[in-house]
Amino acid sequence: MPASDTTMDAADALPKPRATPFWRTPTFRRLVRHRSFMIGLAMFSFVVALAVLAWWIAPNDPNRTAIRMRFRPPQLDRVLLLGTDNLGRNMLSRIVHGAQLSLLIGLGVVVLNSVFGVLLGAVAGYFRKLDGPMMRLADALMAFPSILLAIGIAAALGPSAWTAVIALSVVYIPRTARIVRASVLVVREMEFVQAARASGAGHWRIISRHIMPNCMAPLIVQLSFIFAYAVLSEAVLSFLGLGAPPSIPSWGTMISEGRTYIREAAWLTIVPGCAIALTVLGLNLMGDGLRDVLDPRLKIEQG
Amino acid sequence: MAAQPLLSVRNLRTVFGTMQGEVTAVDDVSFDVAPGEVLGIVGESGSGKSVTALSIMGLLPQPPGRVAGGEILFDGRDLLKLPKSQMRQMRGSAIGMIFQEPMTSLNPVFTIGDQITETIRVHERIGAAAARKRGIEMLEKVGIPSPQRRIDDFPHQLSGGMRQRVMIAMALSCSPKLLLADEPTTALDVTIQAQILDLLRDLQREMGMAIVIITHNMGVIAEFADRVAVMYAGRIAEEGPVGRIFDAPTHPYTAGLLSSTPDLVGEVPRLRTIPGTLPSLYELPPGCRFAPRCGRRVEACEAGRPATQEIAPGHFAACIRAREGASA
Repeated sequence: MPASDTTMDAADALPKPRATPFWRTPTFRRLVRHRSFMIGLAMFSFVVALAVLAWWIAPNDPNRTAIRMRFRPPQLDRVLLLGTDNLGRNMLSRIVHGAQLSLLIGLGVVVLNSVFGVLLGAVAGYFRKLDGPMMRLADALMAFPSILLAIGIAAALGPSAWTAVIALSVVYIPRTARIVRASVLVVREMEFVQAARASGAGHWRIISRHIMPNCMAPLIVQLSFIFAYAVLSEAVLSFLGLGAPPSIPSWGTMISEGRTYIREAAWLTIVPGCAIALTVLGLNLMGDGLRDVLDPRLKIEQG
Repeated sequence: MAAQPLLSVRNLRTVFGTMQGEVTAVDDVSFDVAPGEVLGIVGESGSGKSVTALSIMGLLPQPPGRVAGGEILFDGRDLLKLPKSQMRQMRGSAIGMIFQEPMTSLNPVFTIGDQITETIRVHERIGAAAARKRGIEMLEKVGIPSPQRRIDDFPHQLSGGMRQRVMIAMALSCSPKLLLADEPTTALDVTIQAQILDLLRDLQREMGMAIVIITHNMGVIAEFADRVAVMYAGRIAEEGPVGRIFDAPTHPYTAGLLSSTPDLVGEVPRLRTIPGTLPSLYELPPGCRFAPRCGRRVEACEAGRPATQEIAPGHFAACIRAREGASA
């Protein structure tokens, strides 16, 4: 009896759960033990909580003006915690509603990226003939400074929240596609792909069942960073007046409007600035943690 | 064998386009496999054995690979002329294949059950529960203990031998008429190798399929095959029944291969080796491709390709001195 068979019999004797739930996998345990991931998760969860509970946290309508209440500085008060702005609008209400917009736009960009970036990257990596043309197109798009390209697209389509999502997706999809393509190029040469082909699987089945599930780690890491960039870029677009219309509170718009009063009422810019920083830093810390746990190779490459 | 071969490869020529031009990896190779027969293909690395198998399966990496000529008749139909979709239907159902590396031939992110049932459901209209039942039966057939439980294991929970058993279960799950086994035991421990070969032979008898086994191991051939084709530099040097090839090899290359294998009986002298290495496919010798390494070379060997002669019924050799008798 060879060794391998005896060890198998021993394993058979033990009761074995059918499938390991995610919270019991080593990956999950490593994530929990990763300090900066947990800090990032806490920061990001805080922002998500603000956005989800906005209707409950916000003292009043974020767009309701009150001229007599202008420029109230932040104070220890349920309503005036973050003060009021130049039109007397409640800053706390505006911040939490701004969180909704930022996260929705970030989410929209991530969703579009994970659909089109993955699709294009998988096609380019798998069908070698399409690779050249598609990657040259991606090169061309990536040759533009990203924010400039986003501004151009947003300006061409007219400012709105959807425009921002589309403009930022166009900017980031080539980047996602590149990452996916690189992973696909590695996985497609593995023997189990050949084995799947030998058992009669078609191209789409091979891509969706055999290649993509083995390319998830770098993709998840990339998407967490893209979320952060999207939040930041949305603020930039709004700052420049190319994002959401003024009727929707946005952190970028708030900074832009508060800029005029930065000497007299610094909180008008500092508070939304901190909100952006908190979100982006949280996402980046999470991204770093995910990268360390899921895809340690990237860490070495980046030093 | 003359009746109706299951697989008939006729003048197969497979080329690869490279930076230095086109090279011919498989050059004018012909052989037949009868239903239920086991054909062994032996040769060194780079002799074209695996490329032959991939050509049959239609799995050559294209580009750079391409079948440049010949026919591959399976059940009377030319596989090279089949539309892609029909060829895909063939793979896995009529022709199965197992590979050398059991450690990497299974998808790490799915359970083995997922992977076996997937193969079955690609080819047959069958429900998930029925496919699972068949998967368990197949695992049982290939000798995996407690298959009802093992079917939910991930590949990393199995040893190499067990994974190769799973690969065999997958390849045989749709009862193919022909199984291509490309070095199925090379990556395994010797004890496991013997088990896998025994298993393959039992399954072959039970299911009555034909097997083409590709290996560089003469021992595997002796134990397992009915007939053997010896490949050298893209051509078949000698082909015949296993007994004849081992007892009376007529091609000097076959003789050389056999004399470089240790004998289990009697004193073991210093093993003989064949001097030199396989010629580069870019600079093939003009005549017989083995001539530069051959101890029995005569001038005529370099003149042109030696014709394949039938030495005895079913025993062919591509050597101009083949009839002079063996000198192993």
